[in-house]
Amino acid sequence: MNPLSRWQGALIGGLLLTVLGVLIGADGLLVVALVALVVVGLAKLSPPPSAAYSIERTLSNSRPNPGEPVTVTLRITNESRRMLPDLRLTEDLPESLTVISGSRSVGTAIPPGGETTHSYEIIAPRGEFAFGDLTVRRRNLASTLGVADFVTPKGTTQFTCETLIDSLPLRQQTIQFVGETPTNQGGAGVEFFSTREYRPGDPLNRIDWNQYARSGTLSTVEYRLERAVTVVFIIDDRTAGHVDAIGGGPNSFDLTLYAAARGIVTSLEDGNETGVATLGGQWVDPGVGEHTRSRLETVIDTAEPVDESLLDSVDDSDSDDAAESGKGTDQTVAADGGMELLHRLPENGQVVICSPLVDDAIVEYAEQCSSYGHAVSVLSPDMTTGRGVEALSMGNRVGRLRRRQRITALRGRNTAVADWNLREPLLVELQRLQRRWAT
Amino acid sequence: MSIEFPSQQSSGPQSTVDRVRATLVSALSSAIGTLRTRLYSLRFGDWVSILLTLGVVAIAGTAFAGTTGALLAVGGGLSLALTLVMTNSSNPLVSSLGVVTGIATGALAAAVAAFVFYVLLQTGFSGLFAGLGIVSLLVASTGAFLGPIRSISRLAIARSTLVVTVGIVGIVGLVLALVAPRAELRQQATDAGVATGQTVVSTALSVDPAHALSTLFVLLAAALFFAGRVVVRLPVERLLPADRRSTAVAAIEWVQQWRITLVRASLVVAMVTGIGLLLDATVPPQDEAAWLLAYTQLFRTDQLLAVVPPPVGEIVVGVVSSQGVRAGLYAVIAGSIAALITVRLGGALRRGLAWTAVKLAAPLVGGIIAAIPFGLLASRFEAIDLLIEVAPAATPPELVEFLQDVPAFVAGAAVVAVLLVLCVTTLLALGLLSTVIVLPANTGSTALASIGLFGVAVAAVVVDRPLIAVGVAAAALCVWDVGEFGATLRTELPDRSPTLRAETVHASGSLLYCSAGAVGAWLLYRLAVPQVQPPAAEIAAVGLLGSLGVAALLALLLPRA
Repeated sequence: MNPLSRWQGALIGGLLLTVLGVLIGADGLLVVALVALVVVGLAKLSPPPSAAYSIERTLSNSRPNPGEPVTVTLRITNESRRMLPDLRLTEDLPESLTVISGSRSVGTAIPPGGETTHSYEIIAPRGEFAFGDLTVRRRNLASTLGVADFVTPKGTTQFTCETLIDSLPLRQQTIQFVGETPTNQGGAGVEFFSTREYRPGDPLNRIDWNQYARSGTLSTVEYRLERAVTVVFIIDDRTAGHVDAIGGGPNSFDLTLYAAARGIVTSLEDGNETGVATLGGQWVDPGVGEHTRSRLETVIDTAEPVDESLLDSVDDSDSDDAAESGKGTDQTVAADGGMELLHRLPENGQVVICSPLVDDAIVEYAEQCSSYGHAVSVLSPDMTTGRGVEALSMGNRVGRLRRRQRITALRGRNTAVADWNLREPLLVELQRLQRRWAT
Repeated sequence: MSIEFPSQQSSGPQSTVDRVRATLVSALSSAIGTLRTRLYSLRFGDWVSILLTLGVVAIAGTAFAGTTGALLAVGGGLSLALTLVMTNSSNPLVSSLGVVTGIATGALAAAVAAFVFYVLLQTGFSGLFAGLGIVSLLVASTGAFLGPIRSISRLAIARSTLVVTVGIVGIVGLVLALVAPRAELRQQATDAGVATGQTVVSTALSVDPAHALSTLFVLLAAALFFAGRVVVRLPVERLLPADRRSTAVAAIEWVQQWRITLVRASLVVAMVTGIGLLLDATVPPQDEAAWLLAYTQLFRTDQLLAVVPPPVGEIVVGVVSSQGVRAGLYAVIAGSIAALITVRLGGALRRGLAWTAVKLAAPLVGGIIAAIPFGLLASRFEAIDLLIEVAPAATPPELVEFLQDVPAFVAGAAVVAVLLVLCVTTLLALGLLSTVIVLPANTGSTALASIGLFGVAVAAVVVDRPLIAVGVAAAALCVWDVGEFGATLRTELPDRSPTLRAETVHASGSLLYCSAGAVGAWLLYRLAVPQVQPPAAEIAAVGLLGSLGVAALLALLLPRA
């Protein structure tokens, strides 16, 4: 227990006034001196803070998705019969974790046998994270004695941030296999689509007998035809195409990969032939089997940003400045490996480009895909959301405007864009996108 | 139809007015925004500390010096705090507005000084301490109002002093510009300037026994302080070979450490002897405290010779009374200040000529602009006549004659300049206090408030208000305890950490401790103190000096944390 020097001034003043008061017979000075000395004396008598306390840490979700807020709750219990008047806790968090709400520190007091909780929210990029020891500083009531402890709390000490599954709606470009993707065509299925005039050979169970009873004419019920689609997810893994999050947290590559992973697995579960390509050159043929699933998983797990991509020459000319000066033409794209990837895309295959849209190169490439007859969707985490900051800087605001221009340009060319605001779950934006397609 | 962009709009008189208004509104909103941020950053303990201080200042001030005294103390504290904050702003407009608040500070300082002087004349010895009590109230309220910025560095005080001084230069320039075209006034101004200069020089070099000892130590402290600031900036270690640098750096650090100690020691001695000489000059022989004169007169140089043994006494008195020594110290101070300004100006110019010009011009223009309305106001109320009436006897008649002959507005502007000089004096006094006491870096405002309240308690004792003294002393300790606790929380935990519960518990405990301390002290005072018998006068004198020395030593040896 370390004594804290907070009262030297009062002590010196008190002693000086005492000496003065006694020596010059000014008894009035003694009363002021006595106040100081008695208060200092009482403060010195304050008992040391108890060491009988426990701390437990719990997480709202120990396997969160990248960017998903996790609430960390610390429960502090005073196990002694004396009050803990001053307890100062500070969490030692890994650098890559960002606190988006609340504070990782707290100063509190706990009555005998009582407990208190403190919560704060963090977001994490992909990976495994271990909490460090808690720094706990205790002081007595008069703050004359203090000690620092390094405590390993009970409960959760580490957690993993990984990708999980959700549904990604795909567009109306299907292949001739039965699947689970609804189309705008009538046929065999489960959802009512329309009725039409009976044609010889139609199955008896699809004749609308109610209609026949009312009008005496035969008609056939058609259900929404559900077919499988072939979809290739193109992941933008260019280093130049990614940025760090404003205010900390997972960067755009982590979030892009997360969004792609959700879509890929959902697509597989819907029976779609699903493939993946990265602008860094990786390619997995569309398929539905275990082998495809395994290869997709490997690509997702091992993906890292690359310095050299298929769009390298596009990068050079497609920066914002270059775009303004009229460079970044189709010829530039066609001249590089981007064309090769376009040729590899299966005929009638849909393309889902996963990118944060921080430069114009990827917009040009989406247009290229569209011009080759592929239905193109773009799934894009909005890295200008700015969680954890009170106001965006001027540079960030300019970045946000430019990104909006890119989205407007894509939508103007009939490319659906799922603009994922990081303050909301990815699913919300996907549902919005689905509603847009339905209309 | 063509679209007119803002940059293409005509810049007529109306748009210029609009621009000025927009700039002022922008500066004002910036200042309000900063203030709001500061207020929001205050924790519960800070609010308790500030409100407790202001409450005690209001209550004790009213009981101690009446409503006028309390209002003067609170108003003066607020004005001084505002002047400090605004003149330290990086926004040139805000710093120029700080010069305007400096005028209010000067006016309030003048009012406080007049009030203290009045009390002193009315009540003699106890009046001096009543006056010191009012000054302590002002110090305490300044500390409370500086709560949102917490720290009071000597650098900030020096910067404020410089800004206000530049404002004074601006007003003096305005006065000269108005006087220069008229030949007879120009001649009068020259005569007044020469006479004033001579008076200033003779006053500065004066070795009157009534103040020689104290002023010499003030000069010594100032010379050591400024010379040390220059030495710090000299790149001595770079001029030496690499293998000798560490030794040189260690030696410089050692010298600097002892220089600071010497500065503080000189100031402590100057204050102790100064108070003694002040008592010697003000306590009437028939006062009940006249016995003190037997000791305080020992600080006069003409009495020192009779007390100190011949060879030492002559040497000491010779040094203290030497005008040459004083001239040398003044030369060191002036040279050091000139060197420091040159170095700082050079650094500022390297950062950008335009910005430096704007920073310098802002207080200059602020002083000139402020002199216009305040000068007119002062001329309407004929403040110059009041100023001449209360001017010291040593004021040269040429200056008085000149001030009586100049146009009313010029005389009003001169009054404004005098008020700013008083503001500078107040800032220097605050700087002196922060140098002697060494205010902690992160709890400067709390320490100032607490020390101010403690001074009020001591003064209340002298004017025979022991109950007020007990209450104010307990409040002073509580203010320190709660404020310092909040500062450590701020240091150990990041911003926005929830600490309300810990602060509430500590503040409650502190109130309990201090209340119990006050009650216990009062009981002890009533029961035990009547038994204490004062020793003989000679023992008391030795003990007095000894205890002052021990206190000074302890204060010097304390860590600067």
